[in-house]
Amino acid sequence: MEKRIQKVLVANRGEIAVRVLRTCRDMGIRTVAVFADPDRSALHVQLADEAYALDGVTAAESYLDQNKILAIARKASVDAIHPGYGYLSENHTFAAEVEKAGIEFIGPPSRAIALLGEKTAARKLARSLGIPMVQGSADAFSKAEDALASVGDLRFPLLLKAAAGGGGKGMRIVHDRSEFASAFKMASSEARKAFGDPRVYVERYLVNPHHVEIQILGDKSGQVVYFPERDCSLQRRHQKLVEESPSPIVDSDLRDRMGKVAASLASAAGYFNAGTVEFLVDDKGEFYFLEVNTRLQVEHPVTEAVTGFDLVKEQILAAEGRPLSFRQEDIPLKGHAIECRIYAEDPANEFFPSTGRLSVFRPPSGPGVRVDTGAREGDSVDVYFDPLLAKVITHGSDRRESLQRMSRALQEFAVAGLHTTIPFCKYILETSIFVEAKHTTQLINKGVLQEFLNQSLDPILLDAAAVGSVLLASDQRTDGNIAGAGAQTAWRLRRKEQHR
Amino acid sequence: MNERTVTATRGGVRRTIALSDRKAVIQDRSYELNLTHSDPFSVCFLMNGSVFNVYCIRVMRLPSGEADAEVLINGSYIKYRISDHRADLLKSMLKTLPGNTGIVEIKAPMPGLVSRIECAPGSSVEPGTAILILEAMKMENDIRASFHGTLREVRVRQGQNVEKDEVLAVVEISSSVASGPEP
Repeated sequence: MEKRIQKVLVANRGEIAVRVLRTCRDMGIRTVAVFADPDRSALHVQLADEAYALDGVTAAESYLDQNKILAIARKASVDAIHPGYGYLSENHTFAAEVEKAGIEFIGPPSRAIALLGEKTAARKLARSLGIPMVQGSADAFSKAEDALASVGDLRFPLLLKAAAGGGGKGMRIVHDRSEFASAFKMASSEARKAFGDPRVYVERYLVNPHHVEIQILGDKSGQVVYFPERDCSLQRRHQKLVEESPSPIVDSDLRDRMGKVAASLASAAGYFNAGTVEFLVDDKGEFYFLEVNTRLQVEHPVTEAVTGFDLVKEQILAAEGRPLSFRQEDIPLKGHAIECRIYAEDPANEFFPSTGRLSVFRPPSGPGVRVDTGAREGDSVDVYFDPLLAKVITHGSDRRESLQRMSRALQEFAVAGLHTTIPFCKYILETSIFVEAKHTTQLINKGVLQEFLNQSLDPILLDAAAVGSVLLASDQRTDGNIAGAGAQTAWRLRRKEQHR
Repeated sequence: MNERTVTATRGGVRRTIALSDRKAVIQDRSYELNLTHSDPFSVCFLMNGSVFNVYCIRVMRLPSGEADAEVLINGSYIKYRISDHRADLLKSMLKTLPGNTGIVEIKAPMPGLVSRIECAPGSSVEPGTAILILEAMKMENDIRASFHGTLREVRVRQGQNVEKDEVLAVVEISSSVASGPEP
């Protein structure tokens, strides 16, 4: 039952919308963008063949509004919808509505999203297949008392996770019994707000694990292949910051074992299209099933770099009903790739989101460097959407080369007007703990942030920065005012006027 | 560029900088300086032949007349407090004023939703005390005090949407430097 997809609606924004649009156009597929009011002039709109307004400001009024998106899909007569990641990508109701409308959902079938997206159901399925997992509650709860009762004799620390969750929202570590109730309340309230489902489940919290995940891809005939693993151990606030492939702690034996387990889980769930099975790996090389992400991941480009596949193209081919055009043994592992997520955040201020105008925005390029971004110089970064500005991906013949290349690329990346994670990523990648791959998911804590702020820098660089700071600060001083608290705003306004 | 002398302080280390058209003297170190590019947001220069690209992340003027400059230079983040003789003079005059206290308004750093109030009026605060939680960009952000004092007023209520720079709370400072801690 193969059918050629001719026109795709990309139900997303930012770098992932741009990335999906580009592959569609590479394949000669006509593209439809949708946009919220603040994104009227965004890159993903400019790069599409057609674009439709969602007439809303917030995510809920725009990219999360299923009815608006379905109405546009019908009006534009698209034959497929690519959801990207986040937003509606893991919403099984939306996927089912798309299927019902006779439109291809470029992703797994809605029933597999429903099954695997519900964390406790996914864990039950994994347990029935004998997949190793961290001990935890079999069900999710909306009351702290019930959750605590279910824990039994599990030892603290424990981890609370939203049943419908992801992205670190609705997640809390509980160190002892006395903290349980308040932590549960916060996790549950965050879960309700982020996913519309207050239920939270409990599991034993592994101290200092590596986060390793397996990309899978299946066709509609039931064939599933797995790709080399990605190591996403460098996280802050339970959100990934740096990802690499292959993992420095996984050998080919472990790779095969994890890959086979991931593929077996996908097969049992009746999965097709792209997905990711996440695991924790402890210091003894034991791995534990974590969850399945039923969508394309933010960090998919590192897999593309080491295997040469275009995963979005493979997603579209799978959605067309074509059988996989390659076998498991045809998937290569070439060199090493690493990705840094560049967020508009201030690491010096506990990764507080940084808003403003990208008065300078010049991403790096050159050999072995890929940058996926939805931003351009002059764009404003506001509070409505995710603060991911860009992803920098470097590829090299080995880990040492891709890391060195990343340092070079981050040094080239010019951004003014906002705080970004560029200097923090560069710092952390050059620490011996990361270079020697001794880091775990716990690396980024207050201590590391302090070290980042107090790092010893080359004395000449410090002198040069002093000169640069004086030149940049004195530029505002030309009006001769010793201004008060409102000066920053005044300064920003003046800058805007100059660039009109 | 006319010759001028300013100071730049980071991590307790104060640098005296004299800039002229072709020269930078920092403390007793003299560099040949060649400015190759300058716009309101970035400067590029050669210092003894080495290339430096400096991008302005943020420049914040302080009530003391000083400025905090945060820059991205060759991929690194560096923050300096910049002061000139005028700011130094103002600062020393401020110090002679009786009672180094004051009322400070805590403003929203960005638009968002007040998801929780953490602190009641009348309670004492210290640097790091969370006053309320502002939800923006899908994350909950703590709005904290940066000084010792007493919370006088909370001007918002839970569930309220606030604009950038809207006053959230008012704190009476008991002890602080008017310009905040040095970077």
